[in-house]
Amino acid sequence: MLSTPRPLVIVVLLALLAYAVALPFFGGVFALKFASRIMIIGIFVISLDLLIGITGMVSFGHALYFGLGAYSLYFISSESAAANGFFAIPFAILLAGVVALVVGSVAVLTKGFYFIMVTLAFGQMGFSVFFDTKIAGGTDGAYINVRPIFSLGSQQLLTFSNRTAFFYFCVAALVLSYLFALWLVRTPFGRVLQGIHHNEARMSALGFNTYAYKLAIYVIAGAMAGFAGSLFAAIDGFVAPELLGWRESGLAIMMVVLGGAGTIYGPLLGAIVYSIVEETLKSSTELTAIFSLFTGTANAKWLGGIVANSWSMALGFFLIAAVLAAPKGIAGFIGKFAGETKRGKPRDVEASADGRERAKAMQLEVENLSRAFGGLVAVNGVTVTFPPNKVHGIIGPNGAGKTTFINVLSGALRPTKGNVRLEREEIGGQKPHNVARRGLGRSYQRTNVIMPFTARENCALAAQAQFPSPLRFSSSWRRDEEDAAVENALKAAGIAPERADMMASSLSHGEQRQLEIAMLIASGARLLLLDEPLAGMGPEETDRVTALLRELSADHTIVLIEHDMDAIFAAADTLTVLVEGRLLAHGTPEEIRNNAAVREAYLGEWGQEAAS
Amino acid sequence: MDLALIQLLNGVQYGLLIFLAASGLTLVFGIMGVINLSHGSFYMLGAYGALTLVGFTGDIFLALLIGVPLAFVFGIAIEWLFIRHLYDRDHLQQVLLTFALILIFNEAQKLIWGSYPHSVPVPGYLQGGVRISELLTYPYYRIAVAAFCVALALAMMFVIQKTRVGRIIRAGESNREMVEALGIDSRLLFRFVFAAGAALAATAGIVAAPLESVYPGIGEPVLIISFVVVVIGGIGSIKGAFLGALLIGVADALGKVYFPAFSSSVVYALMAAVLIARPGGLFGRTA
Amino acid sequence: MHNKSRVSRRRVLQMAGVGAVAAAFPFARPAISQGAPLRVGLLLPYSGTFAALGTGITNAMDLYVKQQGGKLAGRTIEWIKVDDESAPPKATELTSKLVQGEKVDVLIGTVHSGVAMAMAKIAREAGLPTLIPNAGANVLTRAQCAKNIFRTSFGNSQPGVAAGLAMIKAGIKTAVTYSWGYAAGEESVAGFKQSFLAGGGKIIKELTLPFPNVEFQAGLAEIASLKPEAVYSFYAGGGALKYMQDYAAAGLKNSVQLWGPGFLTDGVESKVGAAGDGVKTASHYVESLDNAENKKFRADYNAAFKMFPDVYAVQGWDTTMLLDIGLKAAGGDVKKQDAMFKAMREAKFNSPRGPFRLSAAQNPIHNFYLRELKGGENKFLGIAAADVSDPTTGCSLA
Repeated sequence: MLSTPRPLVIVVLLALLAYAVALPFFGGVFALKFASRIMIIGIFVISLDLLIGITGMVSFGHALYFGLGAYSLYFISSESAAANGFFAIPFAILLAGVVALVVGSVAVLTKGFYFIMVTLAFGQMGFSVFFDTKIAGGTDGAYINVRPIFSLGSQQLLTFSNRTAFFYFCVAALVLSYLFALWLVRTPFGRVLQGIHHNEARMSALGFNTYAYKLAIYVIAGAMAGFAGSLFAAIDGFVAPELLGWRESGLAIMMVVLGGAGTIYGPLLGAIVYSIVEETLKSSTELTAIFSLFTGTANAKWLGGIVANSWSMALGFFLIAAVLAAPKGIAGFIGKFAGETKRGKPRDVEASADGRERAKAMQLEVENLSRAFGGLVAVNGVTVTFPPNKVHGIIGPNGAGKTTFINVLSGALRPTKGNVRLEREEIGGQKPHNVARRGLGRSYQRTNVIMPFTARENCALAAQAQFPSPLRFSSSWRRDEEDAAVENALKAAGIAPERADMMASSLSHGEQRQLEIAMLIASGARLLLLDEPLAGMGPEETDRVTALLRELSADHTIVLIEHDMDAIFAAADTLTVLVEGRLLAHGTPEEIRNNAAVREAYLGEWGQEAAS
Repeated sequence: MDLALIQLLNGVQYGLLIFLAASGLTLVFGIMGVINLSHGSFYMLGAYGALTLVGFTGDIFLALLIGVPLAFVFGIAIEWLFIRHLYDRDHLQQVLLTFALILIFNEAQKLIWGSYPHSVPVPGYLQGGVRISELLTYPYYRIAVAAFCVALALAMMFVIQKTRVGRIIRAGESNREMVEALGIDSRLLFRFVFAAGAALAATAGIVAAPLESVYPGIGEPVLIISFVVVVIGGIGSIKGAFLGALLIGVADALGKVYFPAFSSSVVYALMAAVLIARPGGLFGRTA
Repeated sequence: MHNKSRVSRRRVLQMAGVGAVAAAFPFARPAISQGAPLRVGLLLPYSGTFAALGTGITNAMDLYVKQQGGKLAGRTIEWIKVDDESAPPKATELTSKLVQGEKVDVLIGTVHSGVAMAMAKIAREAGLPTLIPNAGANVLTRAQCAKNIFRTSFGNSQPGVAAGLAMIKAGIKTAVTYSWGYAAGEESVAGFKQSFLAGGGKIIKELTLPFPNVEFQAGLAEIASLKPEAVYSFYAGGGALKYMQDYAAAGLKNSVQLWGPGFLTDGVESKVGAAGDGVKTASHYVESLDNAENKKFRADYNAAFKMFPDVYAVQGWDTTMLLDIGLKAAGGDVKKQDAMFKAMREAKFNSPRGPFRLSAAQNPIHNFYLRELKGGENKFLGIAAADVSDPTTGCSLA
């Protein structure tokens, strides 16, 4: 999970800030403009990193909002007078944000590569509006004749026409944007975004409406890009349709990747490095100076001329070298020198002895449930009731439809026919996060925790899911309750305190399975659907988890699929046998053991064990 | 002939050409999972290669005979040098690296062939055309190109559905690890698929050269439209690419007539609509 | 041996210092004093679709200065080139680099009109002598004119106006326009409309294609169905080459005359083959112009660059000529702007294109010639329109 930047990084950033603050004293007009531009693009790529690096949404149309922000300055400025900065900037942010909401509501329905293409499409359509029509000057661009002035009444506070004032405004804007992004990522809202990045299905199953979260960050990122765009237009007072095009979007992605996605400061460094490298490669004078370090002046000049002439090829090679040598970008490269990441220290919270609410366990009723995939009927007319406070096992030969059955119960699949009722309320066909909110939690056949998070952080996310509204920006709200829930869950699931702060990916397989159960407990689920929770465990771990499940049934309902016959016969209160999608039998382990049809279905598989 | 019908014809022929260009991309992306932005560069190199080869041999089909194997070998070289380092990396790094390749290829093109536009002659025996209205003639070469594209599409579908190589390709698309477990070296498979993708793109460039003029930057529009085709048709599906390309070609042609101001957006709007309605594309796996 | 190593170490440190400064401060430039070379900034495309134009213009300017012994008005010329990639978003930054970073004395640019618009804004604010050797955006010498901005190429509408007049003279009554739908195309068609309609012609339909799309089939099919006597089209470069070939392949060549501004054929005459025969264009330059300046220019250019100059090279040549006139009047001192600009504004000289002078809005007033492409060459058919100016609508100088 995103932690505080390493000390080395902080030093680098502060050094850059110091350089920026001092620049107007020794740099000329071009220096200020060049630096202003880099900082503004820095804001733009930081906003993109919120999408790409934090949430895992790669947008190929982010420049749409950048360009809209720029053009909004054109729209709000009159021919001969300055717009009021207090209106102009918020207008840009608002315009970009609104368009992001409209576009995002549709675009966020898609994922992965398709999201890349849909955002590209909308970006190009936006470009076309400004390029193919005369809405704002058409193909040749448009002028903003007088740059904005911030005035209150008749008092002029700040004018963008003053280059130094504008420069410092950009510095402040960049610092604020960076701090804003850093803060946002650490809020409960931001934590969920990171969870979505690594495992969206899991987050949805915990009860988070991932669509709402993704849309929210898309709008925030768009609005921020619009802010950057309005400043960009104010540098020289010229806007062109290409600002919205895929080349600008692509360039921004380059900078994010070059710098190291997901670190917030990485893309900023990426923007700086990319701009300076491109600038240097195009300038034969500077190249000559650099080459003179290695060879004579005449050679240096010749070499400098050649590289400057084919600067884009040199840039290409530079980028390839960067990708191959530094897979995690500049930020990753710095990371190699800076040592281990500092994880946040866990707060000291006592797990309350009787902390767990005596939650009311839930009853699950299934009536005539069927699920077909085209011609294949995976679940065929199953009717069964799972009373509360019991451990219910589902068994059956491979391919009997057990996992499909659980998928329908948890909302991952829609039923083709029939009903599913949780505490008498129909949940069949509902989305996974809604089902989860009602109190039904599930685990997966293959371990599905959020690997880059620690065990504690995984549980924290799960605990947060009890109040899954996207608008959670305050870390302190409900913090004590959630921390207590986390401690209880970890304790109940048997995860040792010293293991709780290790990354989930470093835990043993058995511990990861326990973590899954811990997450379900922390999320407050009262009916747990577990898909082969004992898979791959040795005898000791099996006993431990089985005991845990029996303990949990005191205030939860447990429904689990298992193949480990000894364990499930010992642990379960009832057994349900599915064969070829149909319910073959349902009853106590004794009844099932003596059921002739069941024995026949398994034909000797465990018949011998029963006999012994 | 009715103007609308003629426009339909134009759209279909354009669509077939786009299919040829996009088919390689859908294979590379579908089987290897690699986003290759330099796909358009292979098209461009094919076109410029045609310029040189037709200069030598005087005939576009001879140029094809020589050029396609050359492109295949070139594809192997690029895969071996750069692409194979990317298989375990995420999409973003593939984007960055293949974008860098575009820069390099563009500059190389400028250094080798210069910045002036050139034309590649249509072979003598395909000059002229069939008169389809009082003033309008439909060039024989365009008909030949359309036929060539259809033939190639059928050949590809045959290879994919009926041959052993095709079976391996289809398997590799769903499950790389399984394919390896079956004893097939996925590295070689990928090398082959990438080279095939490059060769297909180059073939499109060569065949289209007499229809286009050859000048810097002709690869980029091809790249974008290829991705659109792949998305609409479904990643990895040749059938999808075929139908998607036809759909785009016709939409583009009709868009030019009925919405001239927004015709450049028609294709994008179409893609967005398909994605919202059918997230996996027409024939792709649903996400 | 001992000395050498000590020197080289010191030199390395010196160079390291210079290198570090140069690399870490890409924008710190020492100011250049008088008596030093005249720094001329070139903002031109050296990559991408328009690279050939950038090269042509630069070659001609280089040739002119070399012929003057490397000096104009006694000042050695130092060229500072920046590749604008024909990309408007970068244009302000690149112009700033030249004007405020490199602190050039004179700015010359550019080809793409969007880039020119960006460049002009900064140039206008900075006030330095600025010459435009190609970009034809009308507004630059209309509403957005400035006393320090001079154009030596053409205004986008001028070729269209000339073509319209020539078509009327040739007895053509009905036409369709088919062109790229961006500013340059629209302004060209607007010029054509103006003179063609004024002469009693009728425009059946105006077709456009989004720039830089080159799928012409749909438009050509529509033209065939509309059956005009002639078509006026604005395309350039690779797109123009494809257009003429597609036009011929569609069978329209012999039934519907194809007319356009010079750019339709410039640079691609030798590539288009028989498909281009009969295409008529109106341009301010023809290769076969029979005047002394043109003959000499073509011979000299060919000797220096092993190829013949095109209209872009001519424009580059005229740019340097105009600059020379201005510098001479100012005695080589660009700070004497009044003298320099006055001389440039009132300049009249013989260019390879014929007589050249500027309007009050500082746009060329020149002849437009009717040309017909045959056998890979633009054949000179006569003057399409003499002394074509451009309206100075909205220009404060006029």
